[in-house]
Amino acid sequence: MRQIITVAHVVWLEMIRRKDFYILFILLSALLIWLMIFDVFGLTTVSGYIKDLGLLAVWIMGWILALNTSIRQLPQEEQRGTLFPLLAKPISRLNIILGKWLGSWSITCLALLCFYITLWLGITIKEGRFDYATLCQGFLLHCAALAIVCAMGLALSTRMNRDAAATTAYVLTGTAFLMLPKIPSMLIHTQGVAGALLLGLYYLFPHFELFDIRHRLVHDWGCAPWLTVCEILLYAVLMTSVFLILAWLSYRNRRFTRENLT
Amino acid sequence: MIPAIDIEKLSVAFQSKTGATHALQELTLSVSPGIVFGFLGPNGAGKTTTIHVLLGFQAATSGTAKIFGQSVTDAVARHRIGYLSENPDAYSFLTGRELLTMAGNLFGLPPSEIKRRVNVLILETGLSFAADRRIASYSRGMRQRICMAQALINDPDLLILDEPTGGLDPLGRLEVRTLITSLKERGKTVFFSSHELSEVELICDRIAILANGRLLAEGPLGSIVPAGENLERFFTNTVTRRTDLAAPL
Amino acid sequence: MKTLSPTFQGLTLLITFWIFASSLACVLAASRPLQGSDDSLLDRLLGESRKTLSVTFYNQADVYFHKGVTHTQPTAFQDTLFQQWGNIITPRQHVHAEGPLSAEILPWLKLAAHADPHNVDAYLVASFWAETGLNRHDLATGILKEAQRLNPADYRIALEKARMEIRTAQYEAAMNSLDHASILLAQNPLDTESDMDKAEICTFSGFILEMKGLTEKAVVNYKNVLVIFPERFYIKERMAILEAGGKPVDSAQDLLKRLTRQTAHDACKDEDENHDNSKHINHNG
Repeated sequence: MRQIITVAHVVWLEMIRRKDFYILFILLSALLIWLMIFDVFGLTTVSGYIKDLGLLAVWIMGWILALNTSIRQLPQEEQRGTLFPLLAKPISRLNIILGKWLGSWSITCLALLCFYITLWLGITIKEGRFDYATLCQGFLLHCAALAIVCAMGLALSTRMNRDAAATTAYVLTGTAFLMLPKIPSMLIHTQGVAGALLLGLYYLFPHFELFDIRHRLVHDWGCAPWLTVCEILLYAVLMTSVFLILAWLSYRNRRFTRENLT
Repeated sequence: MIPAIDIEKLSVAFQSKTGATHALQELTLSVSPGIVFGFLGPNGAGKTTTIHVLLGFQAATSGTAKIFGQSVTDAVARHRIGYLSENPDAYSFLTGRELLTMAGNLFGLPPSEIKRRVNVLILETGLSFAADRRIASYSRGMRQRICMAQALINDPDLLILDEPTGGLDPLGRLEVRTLITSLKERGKTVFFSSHELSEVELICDRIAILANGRLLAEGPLGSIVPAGENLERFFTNTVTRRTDLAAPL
Repeated sequence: MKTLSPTFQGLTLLITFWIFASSLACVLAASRPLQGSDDSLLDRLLGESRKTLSVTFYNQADVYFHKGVTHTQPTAFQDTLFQQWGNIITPRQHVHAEGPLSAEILPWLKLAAHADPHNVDAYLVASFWAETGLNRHDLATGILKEAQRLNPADYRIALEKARMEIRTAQYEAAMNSLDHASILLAQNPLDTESDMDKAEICTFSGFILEMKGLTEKAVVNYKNVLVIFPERFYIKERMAILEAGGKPVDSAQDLLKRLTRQTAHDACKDEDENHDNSKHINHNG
């Protein structure tokens, strides 16, 4: 466990010392400030649209941050040559994978917490309010979704270079988020091989839409039943494990030579 | 006595579109503890492949390799190894102190011991003035020194150095040479590959010459180099003669 | 460390190209302004895409009216675990935002109007909500004034103003607004709904004239309605009674009140006959 945390600690330090988070934070703050000063026909107490657009921005930023952080970990170690001193230590490749995932996921969640707090501040200044229980639920589910995203990014980066892995991961996660909930409707008109393919995607790909309770937060629907939330969290654990196992299987016997470094 | 390194009929082949490339062919080698072992060979001889197998970077096609009696496939075998790669590769966003602490943690050393060793190594490598600066601001020589300190954090019984003097100025080379000598005096085993034959001649107890993945010569420096001949000429003659013979293989 | 990751480099490149494309658009726009352009910075930057953005925001207002619940689509299967979880996580009931919550609709309409100041529908719906949802007559009037300033030739704003004045029993002002709407309509008819609106202007004008005792003028207006929609028997019947010197059962004032009383909830009920607010049935659009 200590080795996993040590590897994760390096990921945290890197993230803190890079510009990515700060750029996204400034962008979010700028968006919130613009929304807050936006004149809604002179009405001063409306805040639903800030919640809506703010949460959308937080979701997009969390997604970018999770993928960027997780995908660059392994290819970057190879590129800068730090992988060799690391592998020369008594650490298993499984622990490297777990450490990289834990580091990427936890630091993304921390960044996410900053985003949520900023949004909450903006809403509070606008005299709006969040239902705290629903907000906790939303944050928890959001973190769970990012756990899958990080594991997926890491799994893809075990055999691809950073750019290829990033492109593939963005396409796959974006498609999963937007297309998967629509597959049951699409299957009404799609049969044959295409239908079977869609059905396969429906069951195999992670259902990110289950982790998104933004409309409950924006439209004051209140908490989702905790039992269902726990079931979905369990699903996230399962999906994350699947991707981490895939990452380990792909990485455990990988041959590293200086010649194949770019 | 258990050998520091014990390699038995080790072969490594890479599959490519043009067929199999044999990087190592049935290499058998034993390195006793407490000596400085020079691993020589021209480019592409298989030196780095051997080191990579010893460190678990890549798997052998056949044969075995052991470090102090433990298979190299077992991560535990690396507890007693320190490794310095050809290039001074370190996380540039960390400070020197953070890098050494991280390495100590990966070896599972107690925190108080890590702190002590980090301070000692920073002093020994002359990096006290830059220990809390990010490695990104280090010169190549400073990077080499912090990487060496990282390799020594676990007080290893076996130090594997891959071209440790490559790219260093004469002063830097002298520092590395002094360090290797001091490690030998402390009873440590040093296994290093190098092109710098004059360095090898100065500090090695035993040498092995490798070409085309095959071991051409191995033994104490004084006994395998004929009297009146220097290492450079012996090396050139051996490699040229034997690679001509080995080529059809 | 000092370089940005590929995604950020990509984003930077994207923004650079976007600025370049926008600059080019500015140059082109300056040489040949777009039809209906208000020459603002936003207009120059986004061009015609503003209209699409505006429609998106306008549709979002409808989603807010239904508290975030969108129309569900028929599906090939219904009971997978993912769908069961989805149905629990995502509310599916057909409900309407009421009370203070209805104010949350207005920002989207404002954004729609901001994105495209010529999206008159956004102003009309906003003023309607301000008056009927929030009981803010002043706000509704302000919204219509802003709409009229930006779209002086659009008759629909004058018509909406007339509806509002009828609701507040300002019949004289309403008559002026209807006349104004009628003139604008004749000058700038729209492709769709113009006939419908023209009939409404004539009907409202007829009722107000009736209230003022100007029966003959009212009849002229009713005749104009029948030119457009000859099948409107109620108008035909009423016209016949008036021409015969009689007095219709429903007073003109009651009819005006009834015709302008409709709320957004009624409008939604008209669209969806299965709507039952109390039972929270599925919204199968």
